[in-house]
Amino acid sequence: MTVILVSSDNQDFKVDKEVAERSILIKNMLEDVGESDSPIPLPNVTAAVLTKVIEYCEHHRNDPIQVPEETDDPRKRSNDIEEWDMKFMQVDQEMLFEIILAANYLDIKPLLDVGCKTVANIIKGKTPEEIRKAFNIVNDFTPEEEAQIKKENEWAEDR
Amino acid sequence: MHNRQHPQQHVFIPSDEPLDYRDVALHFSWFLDKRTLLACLRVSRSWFAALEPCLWHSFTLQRDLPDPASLHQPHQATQQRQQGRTVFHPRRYPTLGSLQRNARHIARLRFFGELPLLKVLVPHLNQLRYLEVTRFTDEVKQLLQQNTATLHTLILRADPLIPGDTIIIDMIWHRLLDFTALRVLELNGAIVSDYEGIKFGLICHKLTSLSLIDSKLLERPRSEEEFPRLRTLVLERSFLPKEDQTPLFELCPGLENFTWRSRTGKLSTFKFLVFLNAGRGEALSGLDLSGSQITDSDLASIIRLLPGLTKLRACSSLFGSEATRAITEMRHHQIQELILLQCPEFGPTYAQEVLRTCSRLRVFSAPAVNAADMAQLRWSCTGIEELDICIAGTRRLLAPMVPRHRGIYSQLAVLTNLRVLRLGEVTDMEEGPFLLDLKVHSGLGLLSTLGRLEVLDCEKLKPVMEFFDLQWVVRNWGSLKRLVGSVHPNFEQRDLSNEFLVSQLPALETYLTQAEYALALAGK
Repeated sequence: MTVILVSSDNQDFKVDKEVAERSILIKNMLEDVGESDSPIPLPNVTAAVLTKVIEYCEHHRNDPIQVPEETDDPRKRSNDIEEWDMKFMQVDQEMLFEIILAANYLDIKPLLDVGCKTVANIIKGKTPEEIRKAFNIVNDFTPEEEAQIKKENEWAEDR
Repeated sequence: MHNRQHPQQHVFIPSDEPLDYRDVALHFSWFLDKRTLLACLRVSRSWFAALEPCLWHSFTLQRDLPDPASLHQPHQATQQRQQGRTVFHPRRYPTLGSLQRNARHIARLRFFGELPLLKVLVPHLNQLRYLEVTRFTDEVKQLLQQNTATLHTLILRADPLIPGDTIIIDMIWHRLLDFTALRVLELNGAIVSDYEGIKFGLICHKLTSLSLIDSKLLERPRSEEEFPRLRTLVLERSFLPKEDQTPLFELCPGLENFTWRSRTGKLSTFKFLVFLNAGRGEALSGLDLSGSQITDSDLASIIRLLPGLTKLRACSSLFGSEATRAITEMRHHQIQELILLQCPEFGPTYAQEVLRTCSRLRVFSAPAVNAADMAQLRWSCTGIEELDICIAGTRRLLAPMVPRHRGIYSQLAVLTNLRVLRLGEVTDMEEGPFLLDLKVHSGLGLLSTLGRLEVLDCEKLKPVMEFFDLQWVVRNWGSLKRLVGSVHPNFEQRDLSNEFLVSQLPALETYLTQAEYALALAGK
């Protein structure tokens, strides 16, 4: 069975139901709507991003569904990314952020994780200035404020 | 950053900044090491606002670490000081202002010992999902009252750093009745009195995982209905009357992991077998019967009755020839983890049989395997990730020894997925050269294939690694994170070697013994 997804710029995407349901948002919508054939509008996702998201879901269509473990121990998370996902994520920064936003909106946790891991790997070990350079961010802290934040959170280094 | 509504409130105009979304910020923070996360806080105001709550998502409060010098031999402590290693690390705590501002973000709290700081935090902790503590104080009882709607995991256990520590838990079943989200429960020293069966049953009905350690169950959970959600049941050094055991198993049709480790209470093997024979063990894939006095023959029967068995742990047990045959004949195509430490009946030839037939094996711990068997290169478990084994019979390897050495290294070299390698050499020789001296020329060079190796434990070996060998390690085992044991018999050279390795592999931690590592881990 196929469903039609409509991007914010009004492009139609015909997708297998099984693939579309990797998005929990879409899955829930389909359950609510029932047997209807009407296309599903996704006002927050452009065609370019939706193409990428569908590509991801197609490749991972047979992955076991992750049970949302609310208390998934953060300490046990690994930063490994499988090879296909790594290649998939080789996009410019803007697209990378858009994919993360789309994964969050569409509730596709594995894709959100891969996106976050990718960004995390980019900034790993960097100083604040290096991180700002990487993402073109303006520093709006005074040096005193920055020093205070550092001091106030020193305790966290121990843990 | 522009003025935006607080990300947790409904945002009418979708933001194009990923960090504005609480879920995204949280997921992102989970993949950052602490240092990087702390650096992120200083990037900009919006990054600070988004990520400071994430810093507090998981919060551990600990009493200060005990001075390891007081627990070890004095001369080891002196050595540690000579190496410049910090032996006592006083912990730093957040400021009061920071605590009061951020305590509400704490979703996971781990708390060891008794600290006045908890009193300050308690009023703010209303969103707890995970709570792990070692004292059942009034503050903890207060926390339980405040978090009945959100708490998912509750762990009340003895302090791992204090040998013989116990925790006293009273009236727990009554307190837990109101918890709607509770799924994972681990209790040390709990008691189910003979009138609490129904309450116990009501709580079990919600749970996906129940662990009772050093506990006394004078009554089983009483319930008309089964516990469909219960996937994991752990009973360690706990007492459950024999007549209550089968009725308990029958209430758990979906059980996937079962642990019975007992010194006092006995698992009625007969009743367990009857239960399994009735086809009730179909979902069971993980079994831990360490320390139970189950006979080899009964172990074999249990293995045969579990079609889904993939993980078996039976340390300090009578696992022997019959159980081995059950594994190698019926479960060899599916068994992934087999942990058989301190099993005197599990001889080296049985270990070889397992390694030869169980191609899906990922984790294997056993007393020993014969050097001569190993050198024949017949292991089928090429995907193995964790291997803990001693190599026996090296003394009897006569000349030419070098080809035999290489045979052993060649067998290890095939295991390219190895992440954890713990090796020992069982020999009656007092002096070397020992087979596994971990020198490149003896065969270590063949292990350049183990590019994924993260942990090397050579505590039970007598390596004699020189600078050349260490350079080889740095070049070929770049993923090494942990080294346990001594790479050289001379302790000064060992210390220099460790210093060199750590300087070249910044993620590497070195420990003299496994016990030292366990202590360090418990302190985290």
